[in-house]
Amino acid sequence: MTDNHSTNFSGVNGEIGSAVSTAHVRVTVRLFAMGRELVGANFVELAVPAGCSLEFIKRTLTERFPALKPWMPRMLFAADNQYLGSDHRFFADRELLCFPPASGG
Amino acid sequence: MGIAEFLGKEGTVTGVQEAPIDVLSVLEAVRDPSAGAVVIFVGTVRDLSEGRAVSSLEFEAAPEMARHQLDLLALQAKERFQLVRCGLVHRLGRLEVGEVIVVAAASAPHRRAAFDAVEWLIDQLKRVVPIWKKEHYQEGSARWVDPGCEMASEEPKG
Repeated sequence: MTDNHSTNFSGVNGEIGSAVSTAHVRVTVRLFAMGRELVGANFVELAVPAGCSLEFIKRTLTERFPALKPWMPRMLFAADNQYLGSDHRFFADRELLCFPPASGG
Repeated sequence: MGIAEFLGKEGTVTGVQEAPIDVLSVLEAVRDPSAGAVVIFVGTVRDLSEGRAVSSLEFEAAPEMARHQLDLLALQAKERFQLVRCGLVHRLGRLEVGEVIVVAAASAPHRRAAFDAVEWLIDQLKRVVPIWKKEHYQEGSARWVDPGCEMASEEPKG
């Protein structure tokens, strides 16, 4: 979590955020439609550094599931019924939805 | 459950459902003595897609978020077009050619607002409601429809 800002600057090599990077949060990514079929699972669980961005989560997913790579730029992410931007950051365990652009109707 | 039973307090009827949509019950749910115009749009499964013979469509949703977005759209449409009532219901699962996919309905004192609202509702639904369709073709293959992208994951079917 982020309640130890004061220690962020004392990490190895003076790296800002190194204290934070030792803490991890669990992100459950629920997959739908083509994403679900490409991964072959309804959801995946990721342990990611606390404070990481959605962009980081996208890269992690692509590394673990290369089949997602061509599609990732167009994938949308949501949590608590809201769409998320790539700069959204994760400070606590969270459930995410990952899906392609809507094609209903 | 009859659709009229879940007419919301705000005068909206929204939802995603596996069961066939009863179009007339949506129509009845949006009718009101103060509304002189009721417009209803019914989207159905077409037998052709870009020249390919379609046997069925399969719809999947992120159900909780889809319900939330449908609710939101109905409330926004009521406000934006000064509707009396508004309905937006989408079917999920495997649908054969001719079956009803989606119903958008609006009632208003006068017809212009009701026409405009229904067009807006269906356009917005296609943009923001997390529902996806997979086309199953008569020759046996299937493909997720991806609006605005030529890349397609074609899968042969046994």
